[in-house]
Amino acid sequence: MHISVFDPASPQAANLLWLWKACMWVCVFIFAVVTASIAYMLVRYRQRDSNEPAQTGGNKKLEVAWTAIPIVLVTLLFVLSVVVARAVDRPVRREPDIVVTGHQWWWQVDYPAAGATTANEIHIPTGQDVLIAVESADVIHDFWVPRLGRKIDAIPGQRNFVWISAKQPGEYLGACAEFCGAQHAWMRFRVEAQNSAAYESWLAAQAGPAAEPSAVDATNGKQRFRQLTCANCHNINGVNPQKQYAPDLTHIAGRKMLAGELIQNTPENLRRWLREPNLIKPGSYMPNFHLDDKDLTDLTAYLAALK
Amino acid sequence: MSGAEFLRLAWDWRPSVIAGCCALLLGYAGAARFRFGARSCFWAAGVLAIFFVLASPLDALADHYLFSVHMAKHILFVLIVPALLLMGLPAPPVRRAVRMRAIARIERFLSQPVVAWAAGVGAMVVWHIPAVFNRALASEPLHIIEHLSLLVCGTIYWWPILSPLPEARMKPVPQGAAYLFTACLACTAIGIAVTFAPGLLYPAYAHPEDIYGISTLIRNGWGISPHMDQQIGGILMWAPACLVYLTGIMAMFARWYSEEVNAALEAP
Amino acid sequence: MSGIPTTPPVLESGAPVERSARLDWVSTVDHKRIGILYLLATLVFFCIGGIEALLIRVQLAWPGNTLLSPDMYDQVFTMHGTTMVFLVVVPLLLGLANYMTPLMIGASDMALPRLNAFSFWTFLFGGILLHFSFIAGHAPDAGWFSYTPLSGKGFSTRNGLDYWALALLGIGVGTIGTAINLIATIFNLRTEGLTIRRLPLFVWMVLVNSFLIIFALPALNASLVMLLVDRLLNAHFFTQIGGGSPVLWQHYFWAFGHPEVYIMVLPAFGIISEVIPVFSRKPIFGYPFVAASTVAIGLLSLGVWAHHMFVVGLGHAWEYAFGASSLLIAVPTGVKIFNWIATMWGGAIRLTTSMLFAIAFLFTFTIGGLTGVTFATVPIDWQVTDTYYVVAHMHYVLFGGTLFAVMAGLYYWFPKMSGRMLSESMGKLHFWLMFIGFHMTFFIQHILGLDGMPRRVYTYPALPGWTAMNMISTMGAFVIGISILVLLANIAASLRAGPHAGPNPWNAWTLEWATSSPPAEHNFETVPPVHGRRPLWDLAHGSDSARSEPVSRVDTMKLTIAVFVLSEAVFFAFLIAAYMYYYGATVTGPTARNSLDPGRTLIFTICLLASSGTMWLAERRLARARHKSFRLWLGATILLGAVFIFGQSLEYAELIAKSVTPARNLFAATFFTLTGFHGLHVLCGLIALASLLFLAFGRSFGQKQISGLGAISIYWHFVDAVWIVIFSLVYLKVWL
Repeated sequence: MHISVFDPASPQAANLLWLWKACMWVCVFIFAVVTASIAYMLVRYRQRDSNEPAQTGGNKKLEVAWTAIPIVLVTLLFVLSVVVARAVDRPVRREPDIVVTGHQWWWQVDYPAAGATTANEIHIPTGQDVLIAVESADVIHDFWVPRLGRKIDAIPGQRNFVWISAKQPGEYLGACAEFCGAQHAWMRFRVEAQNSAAYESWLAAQAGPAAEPSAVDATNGKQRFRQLTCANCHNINGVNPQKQYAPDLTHIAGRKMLAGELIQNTPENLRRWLREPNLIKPGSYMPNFHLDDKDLTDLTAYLAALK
Repeated sequence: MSGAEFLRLAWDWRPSVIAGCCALLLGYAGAARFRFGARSCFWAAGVLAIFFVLASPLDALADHYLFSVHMAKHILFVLIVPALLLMGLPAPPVRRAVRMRAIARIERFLSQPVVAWAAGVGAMVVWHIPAVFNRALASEPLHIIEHLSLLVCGTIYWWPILSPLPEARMKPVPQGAAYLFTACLACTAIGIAVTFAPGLLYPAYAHPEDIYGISTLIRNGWGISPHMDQQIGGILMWAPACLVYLTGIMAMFARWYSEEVNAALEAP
Repeated sequence: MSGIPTTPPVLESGAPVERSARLDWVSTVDHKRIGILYLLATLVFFCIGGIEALLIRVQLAWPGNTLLSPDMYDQVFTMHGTTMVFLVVVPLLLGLANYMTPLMIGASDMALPRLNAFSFWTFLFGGILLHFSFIAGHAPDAGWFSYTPLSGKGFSTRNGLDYWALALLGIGVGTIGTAINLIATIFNLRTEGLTIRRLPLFVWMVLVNSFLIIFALPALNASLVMLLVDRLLNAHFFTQIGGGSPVLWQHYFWAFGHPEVYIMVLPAFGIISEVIPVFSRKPIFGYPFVAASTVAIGLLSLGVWAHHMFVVGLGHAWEYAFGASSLLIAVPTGVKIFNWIATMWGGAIRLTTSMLFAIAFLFTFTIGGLTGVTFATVPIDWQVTDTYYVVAHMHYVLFGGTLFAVMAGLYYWFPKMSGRMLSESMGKLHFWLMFIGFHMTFFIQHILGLDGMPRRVYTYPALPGWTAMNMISTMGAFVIGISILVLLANIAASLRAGPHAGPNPWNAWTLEWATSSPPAEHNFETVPPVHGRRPLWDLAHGSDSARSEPVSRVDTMKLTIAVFVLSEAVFFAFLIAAYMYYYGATVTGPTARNSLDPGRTLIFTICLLASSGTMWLAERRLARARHKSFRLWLGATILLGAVFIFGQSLEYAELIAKSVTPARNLFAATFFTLTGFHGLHVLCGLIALASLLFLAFGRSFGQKQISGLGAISIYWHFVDAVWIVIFSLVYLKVWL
């Protein structure tokens, strides 16, 4: 799954690509002029004998020309940049649809209207502009989904906004683009665009409480989750409401990836993650609890059932 | 009112402005004894700029709706118009005027770089102190004084650089360049102060008296909030104004290098 | 400007001669030796930074590589950036300037040889301090830009960042010292006839560059000081907790950082402006335009910093303004490129290694400049900033631009410095390896960035194309590494057995070629007459103008101190701006209103201002040779200054007793930083005055001492003037 800006999936990204191409044509024109002139000089004016060439020192008309033409070109680029900027960054006059908060090194995703919270996986409805508010809980991060739109910094104490949208249903990968510490590389996320019916039902499910475990080991897991102080950082709706210090786990089993897109969300990987988080993602704030096999089995069973 | 309607209807053909502009043009023609050259274009452009600033919808926007447009107006008055007028001024009538003792004495005092610098920069600083600016906005006579003083101080500021009399000009490098650069720094300081100001410094623009009925257009159609307006104003005082100074500095270097006999150019 | 005051130490009999030669290098104040020391030190740092670059490239060669841990990777890329910027590119150019400037203007040394040595050793100390952090446990790991709050104590608990800030402060001081020295040298030590308008373009650009350093480096020093106060005294300038602003760090850092880019590029432009004419056998095309466009670039570069911050969310007004100014800077840069190309037009081009590098510079730097234009086009920046596209752009400018130019300069001037020619065939091998390796490494990174790869990641997922492109880039980096080995071999071979160069191997025309290679300790036997921009050409071909223009000079001490005061003014401007910026912020706890006593401070203020008066009187008395009265007034100045310091200590003691400390809130942090640094300046002034008084009792003062007193007096008046501003803003505001 590529994430090239050359394959825009939203009007915003398409606008940006258009401007990039326009600018590139201007640059290619200048580059061609420069390279062709250098090549011409090198072929035509090599030293052939010991005579000194004519000692010309300047030409005012040429100077005016190569000052004025670039001024015209950069003015053109400036005008284009204002036009595209206004199209991409439309004014914000309503509450955001989604609030995304950067943490070292994961993304908290809140849907304020529905009261739903998830992490590292943003669901949006297709065909409409979605307004995202971007915040940070610690250091500066940067929210970027190349195929859907521009990037924007997540700055502590400041709320920034970005518009994204997707024409087609599908998955679009994103990443933190501002260096934010040891695991900046694995602060990736994905945007899942769904048609509005699928989106609405996903959102309704997401806002609901966590599934009650039915199997024995899963029920044990729920208990261990409380006892082992997992709940001090992780929130599970209906178990132990908690400020978001770490990814919300209410519906973790519904997510595709774990640990900021580092590993796939399978029961085996989940178990491995619980056993040795710092081998998988060195520097991560998830501590190694040195769980025994039974705890690992129970917790994995519990979490894997939280659809 | 839509934007197009506003641009069509908000012209203000005040007799005083038209008469003043005509007087400037006629006075010039008389002083130049009806001999026009390339310089005259600068003068005409300067007068046209004055007319445009005072009669076009720009004026309505500046006085009632947008601080940023008001700043554009001030920059035109203090930097652009005086420079154009001075560049348009032919030397002979000025020389005749300076032969008069009293005028010569005033000229000598005002053309000292320190005085001229203080006049130009001082006008920019004083008129943008919020208390002063807000009062000028509320009172028409004070507002007229404000604009006149900006024009006059702008002219004094440019005199040591653009005077038609070569002997009144300062050495282009490093004096002239430094003169312009320090003014640019001062402008930057004011611009940054306004741009970074946390609150609204000029409250009159927060809730404008909506004479033309374009408030909603400005706030929603153009998307300019009062705070953004203030930021644009601050940045206008800073970036474009500095660009004018920078152009001046480049002109100083051009003047300086053209003074010198360029041996390399003349060699065979 | 007279001879060099080094005298070899008197040797005990039997002491090895070699050791004295080495000691000579340590104690030297000869600009040529200091220049070579700069070049050697930067070569070492370049190798360290290069090895770090190779480590980065190997780590990224394929996804999931575990050569470096994430923590180690962050240290390595931070050190690579910091080393290359502060310990390689800038000092490399300063070293070249140090060596060549006096020679190119017909002088025998720099204007202030001892300051020159001081600057070099300060720089070296900074460099070693920075690397000592590796030994001390942990190197800095927040990137060369050290964005807050990541670089704050809250997220960087180890000492690496403290080393980083302290080392950069040292390097900053050294750099400012060299800039002051170069300005004084270029103004005052030019030979007869070499007017400013006839300066070789390299010297002209070094001059403009030095002024740029004076304006930009103090901004870095002020930011570093504030960062250190945050880290060591638990203040909150740059953390949102406590009301500080993480974005302010970015403003301050880039207010230095973008001019820094031009500080790293302008002297390179100068080298190109020397090399292309000589190897085209023509004068530079459009000298005034190349010279004036340098000034335009320098001035514009002070007003483009926020283009590093287009994704911060400053608002469109900011972004358009800074986009426009950044686009504009392309115009004077373009003027330069076109003039260089036009210089070759109708010439007789010799494709020496030096010229090859100069042409490669034109080609590569044009690409770097054009990708720069795409960043100034604001919305494109929103898409490509913080990706490998930026990494590519920046290396096209600094490696393909500056470093290629330095290579051109090295092949051009090495014969002058060593007296021996470098091998052309090895040189061409070096050139082609480096040229191909460079484009292989970095061109592909443009595409990598557009394909969505963020920068500063220690590894990446195997997305389509990423692995292959990263592998190509890594292989290119090793080709560059091999090219450096060829260069080193070439230098070694040349030093051992290269053909002798003679004074002017390239048949060039600026003054440095009018002396032996390497030049004697005093540089010139006789300096040829200067009637134009190309004295040696005029000498050979007969000049058409015999006009000898007088060279205007200024008092060296006064000029030096004036430039120094300018840099200090910039430093204080940034601290004062921070005070003003946080004045509006809502603070709880102590404020100027409830914890300061303006009345008492007014008394001490009057003392300080009075000391300016007594200083003036002292100077007058000395000028009239009334020594007793002079000592009296000087003593009074010191006393008044000491009273002021006493008053400030009293105030500090009371505030601290009320537990008003920098950690309390933003008012306290800004107050202590601002007044504390002012107090430090007063203290330095007092020490200088006291040593002067001590000397005054010893012997009578000659012209040299009077000039020195004049300098200290300018400094003293400046410190007082700064206090007037601080007093009005901090104390008087309480009364208003």
